[in-house]
Parts: sequence; C-alpha cells; structure tokens
Amino acid sequence: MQQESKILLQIIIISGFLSIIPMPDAIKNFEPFWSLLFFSYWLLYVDDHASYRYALILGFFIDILQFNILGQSALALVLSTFIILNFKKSFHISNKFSKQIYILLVAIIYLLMMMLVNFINTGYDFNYLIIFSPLTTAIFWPIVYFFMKSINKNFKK
Amino acid sequence: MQFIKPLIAFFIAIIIILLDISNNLNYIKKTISTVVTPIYFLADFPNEIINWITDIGSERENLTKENRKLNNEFLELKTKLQIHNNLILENEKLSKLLNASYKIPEKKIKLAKINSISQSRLKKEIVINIGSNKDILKSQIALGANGVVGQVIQSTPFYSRIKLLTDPTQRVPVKNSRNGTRGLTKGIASNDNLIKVEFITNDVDVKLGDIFITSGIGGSYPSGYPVGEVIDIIKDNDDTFLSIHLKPIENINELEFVIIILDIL
Repeated sequence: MQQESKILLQIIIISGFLSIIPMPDAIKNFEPFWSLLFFSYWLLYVDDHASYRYALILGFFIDILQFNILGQSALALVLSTFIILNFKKSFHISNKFSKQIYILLVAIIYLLMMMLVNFINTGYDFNYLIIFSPLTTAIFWPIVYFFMKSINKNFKK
Repeated sequence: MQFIKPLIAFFIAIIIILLDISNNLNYIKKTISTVVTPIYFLADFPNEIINWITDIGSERENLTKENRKLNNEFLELKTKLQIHNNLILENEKLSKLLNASYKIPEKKIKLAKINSISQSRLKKEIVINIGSNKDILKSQIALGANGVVGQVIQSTPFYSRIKLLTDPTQRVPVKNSRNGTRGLTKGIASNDNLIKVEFITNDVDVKLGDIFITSGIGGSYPSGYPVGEVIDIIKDNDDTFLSIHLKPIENINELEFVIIILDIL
C-alpha cells in the first residue's frame, strides 16, 4: 500500500506541475489533460481503491492550481473515473490503438464536463482549438504509460 | 450499490462548484492558493533559469540591467502620462462647460513582473509576482505602457491574479474618447486580439480608428484609461445595437511588466 501511495503522490505532483508550467497560448490550447492521463494510469494499472476520493482530491488540487472554478476538474475526473472503471477489463485486453481510443473517449467526456461548467458560469464562448485537447491526450497516453512504468519499475500489484 | 460512491463524489463536486460560483469559497481558495505558492515558483523556475542564462551570457550585463531599470522607469512615466493626458482633456471639457477648476489626483502605482499567462485554457488571466504584501488588493487595475491590461481578481501574499480585458467574463464600461458614446466591453474567448463593445445603438457616431477609454461608470474601473481602437463596425438595420470590435491597446504577449494602480475606487 505504501508503494501505491508513493505513485499517487507522484501523479498528483507531476500532473499538477505539468498543468501550470508556463507555455505559449498556442500550445496551451492543444495541451493534453495531464491530470486525466496520469490518474487514468493510476486507475488502470495501480489501484482503484478509494478512486473517487482521490479523483476529488486531485481535481480540487488542479482547480486551485489552474484557478478554475473549484470542483470543475473534480467533477470531470469523477465522471471519467466512473467510465474508466467500467471499461477497465476490456481496456486491458485491447491493443495499443484501441487503448488510445478508450482514452480519447474519456478525454472527450472530461472536456465536455469542463465546458459544461464553464458554460454555466460564463456562457457559450470558448476557444475552439480546445477541442483538439482530447486528441493530444490520447496521443500522449503511451508516453505517460511508459514514463510511469519506467519510474516505478519495482512496483508489483 | 456500485453507483453510490460515484454519486456521492459527483454531488460533492457539484456542491463545491455551486458554492464557488456564488463566491462562498473565496477565503478558502485564497488560503490554499497561498499554501501552494511554492509550486508556482517551481513551475516558473525553468523560465527564470533561461532568463538568468541569457543575462549572464551577455558581455553587456551591466548595460542590460541598466537598460531594464530605465525601461521600467520609462513604463511608469508613460503610464503616468496617460493619466495626465486624459485628465487634461477632461479638465478642458469640464472647464468649458462649468467654468470650474479641476485638480489632477495623484495615483499610487506599483510595478509588477508578469510570471505566467493563461494557466487555464478556459480563462484569460495573468499571474504577477507581487501580492498583498505589496499592497495589491482585489479590484485594483493593471495597466501597460499604453492602456488597460485588466483587473486584479485575487491577491495572495506572494502573487496576484489579473483577469485580462480579453477574458469573456470581463466587462468594462467604456466611452468613445472622441464623442463620449458609452458602451460595455466583452472579451472573445476564441480571439486574443479582439474585444466587443456592446449596447451602442445604431444611430450613434462611431468611426474606425476611434479610441475607447474606460468611462468609470459602475465604479469597477477608474475613468480615462485607453482600452482599444475600433477596427470593425457592423451596422445591421434589424438590430438595435451596432456590432463594434476593438483591438486592445495592450498586446499582452509583448508585456513583461504591468503597473498596478493602488487606489481602489
């Protein structure tokens, strides 16, 4: 369990850090949903115990860091967690490309939730380039997977 | 049973969102933001390193420092000049109308460095390197050398957040500097270089190149600061209002420093 906690801490720190690292606006719009990517790794390969609690914690943390409406990322992560846990078995028997499709679908739902909360707060106005974020999230999935796997070589479930 | 946990988490998130939208979590957010300040410094660290290496690699290091210092001073003076020029114009108008004298108020200002721009892709904000420890407070306004940049929306002891004019939720009461026609600006999320001006009726005289300045109505912004230049006017006879687009006077991507006006209205 100690090792799981260590990985969770890694996920919170790395995804938090990547979410606020200064970038030009043009790149920022295409940026993957880092918290979703790293938390998906946690749910799929480490542990799904108390997953909703951790989804809320990570979501609130990201919202604070990114100055979002508090609960916006948390809500999107909770919904994404629900979907990931439901397709977890079929995900593991899929090939690499299908895994990316699964991540793409979850990222689309994540984006829709983020935009829904934004719509309630500010109205229907957003930079349309943001719709590419789920795509980059799916593209980055193998990189995040191998990165997390390589820094946690000793981890055995 | 399997739906209970996600439902509870879902409702917790919804409740927190509603509380935050209704501004009931400001204090908690501010406190947590202060606690996580070191993370921002850490995230900005590579940027600082690059700047430092660039500076140290230069043979004209001292000249660079001197130049930066003079540029900062120049920026401050230029900002003061904006205030001054607008007040003179205002003074002339008022003097003509009322035959009255007009005293130019002194403004206290603070220079701040921009740490990062738009951390969230759904908002247009910047983070500056000074906060409540340097008298920066919520609702103070930020200026560049040429005009308004935005308004402070959160101030922690070590940094502050400024919502830019171009944010879709930022509305600024403005007036045409040529004839005093009043309207309200609104940012456009999909375009960083455009601001809409709303509620100006079809029959009003607005020309390309007109400069809109803050009108001061509503009390959230002081009056007389340049906001944008008219670059597009669409007149639709079926619509009561003109569709006016401004190019912001300040290009945020070219700014390194901003001036914060410390007086709150």
